[in-house]
Amino acid sequence: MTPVTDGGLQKKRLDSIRERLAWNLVGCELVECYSQ
Amino acid sequence: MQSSQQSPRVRSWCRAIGGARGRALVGRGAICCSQAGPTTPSRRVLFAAALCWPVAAARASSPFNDVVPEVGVVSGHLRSCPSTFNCVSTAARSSDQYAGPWLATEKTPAAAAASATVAVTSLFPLAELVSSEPLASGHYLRFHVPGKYEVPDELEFLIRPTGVSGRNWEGDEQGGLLTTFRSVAGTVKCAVQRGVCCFAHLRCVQADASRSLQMSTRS
Repeated sequence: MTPVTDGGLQKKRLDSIRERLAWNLVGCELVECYSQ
Repeated sequence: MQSSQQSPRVRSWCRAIGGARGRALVGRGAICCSQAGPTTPSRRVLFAAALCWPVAAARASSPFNDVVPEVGVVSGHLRSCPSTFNCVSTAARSSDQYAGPWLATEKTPAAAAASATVAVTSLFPLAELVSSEPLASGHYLRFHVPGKYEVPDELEFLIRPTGVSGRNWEGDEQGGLLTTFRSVAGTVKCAVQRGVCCFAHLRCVQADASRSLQMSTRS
């Protein structure tokens, strides 16, 4: 049996939370802080 | 068809399964197949029941039955992802389940936890804060968030005052809070790929409104 995907719901949820918090991804500080 | 109306062959076949659960599953399969087919315990009933047998056996031995995703902090870290669940974790090793940790900008783990709580509850009004615990290693948060199915998803955060070091980047001198997390679906829904058996099982599911292919991870 194969698990049915949730369509990336978990990742989308976390992405929206991080966007709301405006917290940077570790390792992406330079890209996110200085390219905007 | 009621189980009392099953033919002796079907009843003996069900008893041969061994466990009560297996008998119930197979019995359910026989019932649904009889609803989809003839009304007498004929060869066609037994044939249809035989079609359900592989599915019923798979359900009885399914790795998803009675599986509960474990939550909480272990040795100061959040858990990785069970391979069979829709899940994202900063501790996962597979590329499709891994997500990079965040760097919170608040001064303390408690303040960051408060910000995260506000963010989660504002974005997902039906989310429920299940746990908010200050730990020696930081602050742990756990939410129940409505998911794709009726069983809520588990969303966890562990915010630690460790920051990031060792990169020789001057931005790290400002500190920061290392935020690890995990989001795991509370339910696994399985696709049974067994051709005609799958079709037969779908008829079983339609006949049994209380259950579906969904394997709840909680009792």
